Amino acid sequence: MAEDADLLHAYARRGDVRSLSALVKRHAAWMQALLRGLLPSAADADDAFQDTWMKVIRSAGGYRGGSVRAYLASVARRAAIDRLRRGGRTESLDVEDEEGRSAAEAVPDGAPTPLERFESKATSEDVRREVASLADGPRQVLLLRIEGELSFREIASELGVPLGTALTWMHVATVELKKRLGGAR
Amino acid sequence: MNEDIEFNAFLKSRLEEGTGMAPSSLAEIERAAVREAAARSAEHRVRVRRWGGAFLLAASLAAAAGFFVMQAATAPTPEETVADAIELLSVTDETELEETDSVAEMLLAWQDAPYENAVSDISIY
Repeated sequence: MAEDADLLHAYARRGDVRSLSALVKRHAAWMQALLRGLLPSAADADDAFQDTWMKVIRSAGGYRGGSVRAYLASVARRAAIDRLRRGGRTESLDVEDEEGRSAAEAVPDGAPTPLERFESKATSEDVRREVASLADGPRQVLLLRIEGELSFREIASELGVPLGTALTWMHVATVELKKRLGGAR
Repeated sequence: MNEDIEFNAFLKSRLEEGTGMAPSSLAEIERAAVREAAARSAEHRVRVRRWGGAFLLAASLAAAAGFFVMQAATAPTPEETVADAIELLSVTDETELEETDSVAEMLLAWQDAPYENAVSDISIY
């Protein structure tokens, strides 16, 4: 199976559309999940998915090595930000608090999920809803980590926050989701 | 730590559940990719023609200039022509040695004379 980077280069250098299609299919699931976590609706996520690949198509030559998945996740996040801005929404994915305090404090307390609501009972809709209700910082770190598979250093760089903040936000997101989804695991 | 890894895997599987790409979405991406590749290819051809033309012109000019410089640098002076003639005479057959010696002497005298004079003197013979 061809490497992601080879597929991307094949399109960038030779205009090989089949390579690009293979790349789109290979990365569709996690990218959709990432965008659905970052945006308020599935329709927005679908549009942002298209926007992401349009950006990749136009700037494929700009890929400078490293993890293609991390590169795509970064492009997808920017596409999500653009879509939120175009839609005139009040939410923002721009992280402004470099200390991470407000985001940690901003995590809504929410009613604790009953303990009996174990993981096996948490549907994908439950998970999506709870992820969507996280504060921006922890939500983005969580999604970039588990869907984009970025390292914490890459996440910190992508969000423009210190490494410690990225780690704190990941911890906040995990603790909060465990609590809300039943603390099963 | 393992617990966190397992929890993240669980989240990932739930978040990716039911996510799929509509065929129309892929088709639209592919059409855009074809358009972009064609535009990039056309742009590349124009650039190659432009730079290729400029390169050929520069190469032609450089070759022409090189030819003239080489001609000027390697053209023999009258003195060198006479010297070559003397050298040629020195390797002729021994039976004609006396005759060639006298010609060589004459050429040696011409060697320092202006080229035009030497040519007119030779034409006498």
